[in-house]
Amino acid sequence: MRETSTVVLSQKNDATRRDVAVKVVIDASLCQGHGRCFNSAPDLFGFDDLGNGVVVGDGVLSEQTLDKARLAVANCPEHAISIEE
Amino acid sequence: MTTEVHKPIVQDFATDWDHTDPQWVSDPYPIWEDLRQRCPVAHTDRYGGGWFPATHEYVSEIANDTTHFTSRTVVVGNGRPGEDALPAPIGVAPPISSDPPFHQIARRLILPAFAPGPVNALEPQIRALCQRLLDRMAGHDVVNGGSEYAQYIPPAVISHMLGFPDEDEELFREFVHIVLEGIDEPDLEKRMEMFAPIEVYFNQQINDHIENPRDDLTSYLLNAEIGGNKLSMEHVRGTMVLILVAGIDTTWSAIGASLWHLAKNPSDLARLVNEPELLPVAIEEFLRYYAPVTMARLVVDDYEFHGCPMKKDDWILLGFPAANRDPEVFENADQFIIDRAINRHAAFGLGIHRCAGSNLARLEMTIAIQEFIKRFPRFELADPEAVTWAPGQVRGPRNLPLRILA
Repeated sequence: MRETSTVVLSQKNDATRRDVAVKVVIDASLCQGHGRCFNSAPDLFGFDDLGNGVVVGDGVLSEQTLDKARLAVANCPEHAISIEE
Repeated sequence: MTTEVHKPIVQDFATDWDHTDPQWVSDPYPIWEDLRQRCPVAHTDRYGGGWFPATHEYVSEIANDTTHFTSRTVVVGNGRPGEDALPAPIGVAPPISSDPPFHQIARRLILPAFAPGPVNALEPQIRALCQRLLDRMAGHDVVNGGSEYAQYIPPAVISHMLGFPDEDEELFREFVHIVLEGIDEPDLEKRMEMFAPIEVYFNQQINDHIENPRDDLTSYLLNAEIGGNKLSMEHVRGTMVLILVAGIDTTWSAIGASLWHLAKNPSDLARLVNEPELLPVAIEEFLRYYAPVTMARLVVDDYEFHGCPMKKDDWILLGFPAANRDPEVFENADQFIIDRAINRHAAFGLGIHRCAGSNLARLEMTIAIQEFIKRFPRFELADPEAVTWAPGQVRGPRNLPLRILA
């Protein structure tokens, strides 16, 4: 299995234990504009005039938005989204 | 029509695949699962030689490798693009038939028209269209989800975007049919003859737009520039043909397959009716499970791909629908799970050729299904045996009789 929900859940547990700022980023060289991120989490992601995904604001995640960001990571067909500390 | 009408029935898809074989057309999924376990890259001598990778990993690898695989043509046929085709990297229908570096230039030209902003602005019009089609079905016990509904939606939207007269919708569906059938015609003269009415019509529309520019995609392409130069007429017409062909039977197949699923699965239908907020997630599962579109590549030069001795000009049938059923990537890949939260499907392709119209396709699917189940919250297949699936690289139900239940 490449990346399963189990992996995502365990990442989530690790991250929520830590008390540091995490942010979501899009690698523009990988994004092909599938639109999965801005469709599922429009508060975290927007799009440019070509329809490629962009992070709204500084991308810093709260406890409330972390799950949405993780879902966006897991659903990006191009593996273009990641969560960084 | 194809000239090759009597093809032998496939005995072993691993060594002799044919995506137009009746078994593949009616239910390809068990075939792909078998190939994933046995091959996972199947071969055929048909169509002058070709390969079919059945796993997500290999589909992704080839889609992302524009060095060894060209998009010069993306529809498997008996011939290879000949003198009638523009040379790579431009190709006959930029940007889908273009390779880097020209691909990016051609793609950037059209992407803004298909970005979420302009696409979402079409919502009221698409919704009104769906409602008009549903009005026509009022009072019928049996309606056709394909030929009375799904089939009408994308052509109207695309012709509106291109700025063609509304009354020509019927003509577009005929053109799509011609292109999809004609691409398999090995006789170049015959093919050109078949395509002639399309060329005539497009030239008329282009000329009309040159004389009377307006705010639509055709005028946009006529005014667009690359490096300070207007696009060649071949480029303008090729892109218009692409938008016409790529935007129509693909989305109607996706809408039709979704309705087919709901007709067969009353619990999923009831959930969507009762939990409309589930629709966006359900749409992605419809796209994964019933991904309609398979694209092709040509091998650039002799190349060994994971032990497969690929030859120059061999076809690659790039099965995104097969990738979407790969258990290595999807849990319970063979099950339709309407609220599947993690769903990294490849229905719109992978890599630089991601379907440029994906935002539009998703919007049309969403509205078409929303309006249909609002009007008809309960329906079933009126005659399962009568449902026919389109052969070839765009798979969806063409004849879809649905019985409306009280």
